Amino acid sequence: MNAAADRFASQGIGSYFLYTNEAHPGENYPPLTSMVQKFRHATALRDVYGVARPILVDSLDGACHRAYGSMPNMTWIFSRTGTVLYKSDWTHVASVVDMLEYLQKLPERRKSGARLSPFQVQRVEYRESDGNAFYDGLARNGQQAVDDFARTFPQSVPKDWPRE
Amino acid sequence: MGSLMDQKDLLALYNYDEFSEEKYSPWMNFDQSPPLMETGPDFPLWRQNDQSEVHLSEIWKEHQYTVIEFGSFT
Repeated sequence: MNAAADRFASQGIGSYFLYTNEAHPGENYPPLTSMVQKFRHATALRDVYGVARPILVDSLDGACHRAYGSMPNMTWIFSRTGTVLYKSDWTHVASVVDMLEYLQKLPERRKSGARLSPFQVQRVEYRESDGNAFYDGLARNGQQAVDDFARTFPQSVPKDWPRE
Repeated sequence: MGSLMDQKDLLALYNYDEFSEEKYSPWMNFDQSPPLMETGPDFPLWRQNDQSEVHLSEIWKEHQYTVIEFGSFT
């Protein structure tokens, strides 16, 4: 998402990361109990995962996150007036880029005389998921995070994880 | 006192201590989330870099379009 944010930054599009609750708490990143801890985890996200976009931190009770559906890694796009133009229950860069490119073509279409009327569309998209990378991330959170996920979704453990 | 307890419960339930279906799934309410083509609800947020308060509405006013990715370290 950093690369997409960079690409569109000069074209009037802002990109932010909003820090929520810990989806897969572990010994290294335990459940949040204070805002001090939440800021510390948000800083670790920036430093360890290299999130270059400005990070916003939600309240400890996740008021904003909960109001928008509480999914662990969703993406929303707003207009300048706060109108919701896109929402995805999972973040997929290609899907976000596709929407931003679509939005950027609107002025040209209007300029060419097209009379545009909004409508809504829902569709299912598919993303590739890297089980090894996901489990590497869980291990970074702590062994508890690995054990919890493997217990909840036993079929999810990659056959060749952990890799040598 | 009751509301204090409620808030305490909310904090503990939302910031659950283990990933298990009974603890995470009650929060998954994307189908009840704000609709497209309407103004999204506004909330106070805090900037990670200096901990200053800012409202989501101030953020989306800054640009023609604003992308917000939700997530955490874990």
